[in-house]
Amino acid sequence: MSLWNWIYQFIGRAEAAGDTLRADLFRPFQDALELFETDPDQAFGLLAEGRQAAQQLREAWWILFYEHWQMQVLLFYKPDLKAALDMSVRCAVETRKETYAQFPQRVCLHEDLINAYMGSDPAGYADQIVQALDYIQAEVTPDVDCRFCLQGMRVEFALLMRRLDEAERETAIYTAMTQRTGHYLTAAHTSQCSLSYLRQQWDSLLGWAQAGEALARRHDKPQWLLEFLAWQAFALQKTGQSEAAQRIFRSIMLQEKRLGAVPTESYFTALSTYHEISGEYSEAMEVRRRQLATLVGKGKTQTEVECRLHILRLLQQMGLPLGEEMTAARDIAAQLVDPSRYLAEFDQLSRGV
Amino acid sequence: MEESKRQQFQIHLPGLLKVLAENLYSSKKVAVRELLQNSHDSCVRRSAEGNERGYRPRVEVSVDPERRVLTISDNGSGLSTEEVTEYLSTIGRSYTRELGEKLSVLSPDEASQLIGQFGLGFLSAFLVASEVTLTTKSMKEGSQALRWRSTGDVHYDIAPGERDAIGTTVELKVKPSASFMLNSELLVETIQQYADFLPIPIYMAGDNMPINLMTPPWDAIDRQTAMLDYIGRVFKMSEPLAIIQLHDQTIDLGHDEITIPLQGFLFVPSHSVASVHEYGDLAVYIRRMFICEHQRDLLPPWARFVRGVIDCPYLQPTASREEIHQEDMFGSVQQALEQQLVAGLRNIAETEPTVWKRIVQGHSDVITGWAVRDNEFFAQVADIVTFRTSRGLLSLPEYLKLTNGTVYYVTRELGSLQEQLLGEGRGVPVVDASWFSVTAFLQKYADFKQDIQLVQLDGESKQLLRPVDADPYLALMDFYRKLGIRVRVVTFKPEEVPALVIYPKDAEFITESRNALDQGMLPGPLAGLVSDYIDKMKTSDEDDIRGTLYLNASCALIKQLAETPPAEATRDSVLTLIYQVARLFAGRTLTPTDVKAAFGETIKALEALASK
Repeated sequence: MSLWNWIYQFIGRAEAAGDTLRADLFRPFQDALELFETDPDQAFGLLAEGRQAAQQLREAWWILFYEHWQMQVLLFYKPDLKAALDMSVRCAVETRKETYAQFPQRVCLHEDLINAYMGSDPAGYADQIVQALDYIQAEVTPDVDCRFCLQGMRVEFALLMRRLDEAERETAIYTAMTQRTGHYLTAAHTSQCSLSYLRQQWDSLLGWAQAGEALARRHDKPQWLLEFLAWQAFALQKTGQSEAAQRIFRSIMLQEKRLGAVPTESYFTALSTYHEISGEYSEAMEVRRRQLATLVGKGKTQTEVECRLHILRLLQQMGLPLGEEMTAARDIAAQLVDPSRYLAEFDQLSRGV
Repeated sequence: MEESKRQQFQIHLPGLLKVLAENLYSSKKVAVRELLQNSHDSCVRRSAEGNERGYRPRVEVSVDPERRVLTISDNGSGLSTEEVTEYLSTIGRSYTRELGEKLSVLSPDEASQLIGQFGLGFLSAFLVASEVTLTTKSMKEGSQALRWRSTGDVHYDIAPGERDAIGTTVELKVKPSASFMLNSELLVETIQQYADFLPIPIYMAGDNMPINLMTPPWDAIDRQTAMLDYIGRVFKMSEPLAIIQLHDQTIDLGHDEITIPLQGFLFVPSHSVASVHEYGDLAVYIRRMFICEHQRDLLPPWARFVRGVIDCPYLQPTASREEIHQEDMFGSVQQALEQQLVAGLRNIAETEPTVWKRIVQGHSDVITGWAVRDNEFFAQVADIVTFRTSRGLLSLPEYLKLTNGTVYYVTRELGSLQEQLLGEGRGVPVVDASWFSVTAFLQKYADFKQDIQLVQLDGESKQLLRPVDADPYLALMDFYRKLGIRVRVVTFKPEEVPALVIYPKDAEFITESRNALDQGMLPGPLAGLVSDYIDKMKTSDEDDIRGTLYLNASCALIKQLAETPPAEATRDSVLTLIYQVARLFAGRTLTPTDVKAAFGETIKALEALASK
């Protein structure tokens, strides 16, 4: 039974029995869903309320249903990986119970755990992440949406690890398999953009970003829309189409104000490098500072280290002292399972290389 | 390819009729509403176009269970032959809409009373009827009566009819699946649900009194009584804490202003039972015709302690008129409602503080949930919202008077008894913060007021214990240590309690996870990730996880035991009992096996005592 079938049947039974409290259990989710990208705090509050209602009614599956969606908000929209990791571990332990053996969202909860680790220290837990993805692969049947999430995670992991050949292979699969979807196909386009950027294929980047923009608009995905626009601005600037790039840049500023969720990591990268290639270092620095403000204390350790690395490089390019920034960057890097790669880069920067 | 040819869609009318009639509407009852509305609009038309002095519109409904016929008759404008063909038999073409467009210039008052607009309503008759016969005589001079008949297929018949008076009679041959229509009581209930406020009287055949109220409660002479009656009748509630009557509202569009015509009222029920969307809903009328109930998108999301009824002609019904379109003016109506609700509540807070306090206290869970998200709202309620404490419901100012500026709270109901006991032992009540928003509210309150300390007691109960010199108790401690029990000697109140077992915050989860990992209950690859996290969880002292026994040096029994020589035979049994009782009282991290073992030890100790 799919998740949505279960929900449909549950609500139907509750309505038929005149059990309004149970019949209303889905509603906080519906309300929250509309707010994920525009007001994630409120969305999280509504989901917490749904969870509490489920707890009062002793509906174990519904409690985990709401926790899964709370984790989605924590993982992708607020984002707060510290809280997400704690919650995902607790949920993973809970799902071992017999009560959840048939729970259609069990796999999603396991994916949340992997996503939490991927978001915090993907390199540090690489082996366990790969094994866990393989394990889930065996659990996922071809008729459920989980297969899209799983493929998206494989792509994301390969990109985070900078395994570009693997990323290219997995992204091609992801794009092909999501052709008839809205959300996942748009997600696949964000991956294609990241891949093109890492491959330094600017025309390809522009193409995917333009196609992605159309999808994000059609499926009302403001967070990804912003990312696609930023990639376009960057790619246009990179290919010498400055006027068009500036036009898009102006619309980015408008769109960003409307977004309640934290923009994606790729957005900050695209925007910052757009400024860098335009020689606007202080603007690039301002973008990275904004990104850093969204990361501090949130448990996205690898991303925070990389953001700090970008800040250090910008400081060096601007001829400014690295001082305290370097100390802070080293302190955060020390939280990674294996910080050696970053520490080596910090050493190089310290030596002025 | 040859040049393109322009072709026309082919419509399979019976199929379309079936789809529209059976799928457009969710309830068969709407057929009654649609027919009553046609009658109403027809009467409005006769009033507007007929210029007849003394015209008294009326609608009459009757049922003949034997013939299975439901009849709805009106003395409205009737239909001419052309109108029957143009409007009645043309799906999607609405005479009322076209009349409304005409009248909006010449007679805007009458135009605003017209309800129909889609030209689909008449189709709903086929939801309940296998055959529909309409006999009508138009108010147009020289008109002859007509009889129109259809069984819902592609054909209809028109023939001369028998009728002297101007107006229309619709006869429905009721299908077996809609037999409830032939039950007079159910029929009256349905008519009252949809058409209670229509200004034209609706009679059941043979009755002298109309079955509809005709006047909505907000227009009644004794509004207060009428509104209370409506709340009791429709919402099945009594004694609302407050009623806010709605009126037209001007809203600022930035570039311009617009006045939203609003009628109805909002009310605050006496209390909430649960938070999640229990209330926050409206019954919606458009031009006095009931559209839907439990509409939850018009009121602002924080207003879940409010219910009400509105009539707003700017709302746009869907084609089935069972829902409201959420576009165009919907947002403006939402805004108008929010403005009036905020103003109404502010007025209550300022002029009737006792009522405001009762509202906040009656809906504290809902209100704390919203207040943590909205600073302005938080400031309004911060000092009056009440919390469940170990001494009943208290507001924070009331609570803080008892605790000298510190808020002691527990976040989980399970296991909170021990913390409450400790709190009360020190003379401080404990706040139950198990509702998700309470902790956030307390935090916000502490930030807002400053100089307020928050102490979470679950996992941190040690804050209520006072260390003492352990020397006089070394023999007791030695007894427990030999059993592998971690032990401390402290003082705490109440003095009657000899000992407590206290666990750190995540002890249960860590224990549960380790058990699950040890027993291989988590899939291998996931187990590694879980294990890594559990290992990193704050465990200042590994032994803590198993709990620490705190002996109460203030307790007379503990003092007496400390002075008892270790060789005294009963001492060990009593110490065993003390530990097991404390462990069971804490109730945490115990598996069924642990509980069984604890009872086993308890019984052994009791038997040892009994044998002495």
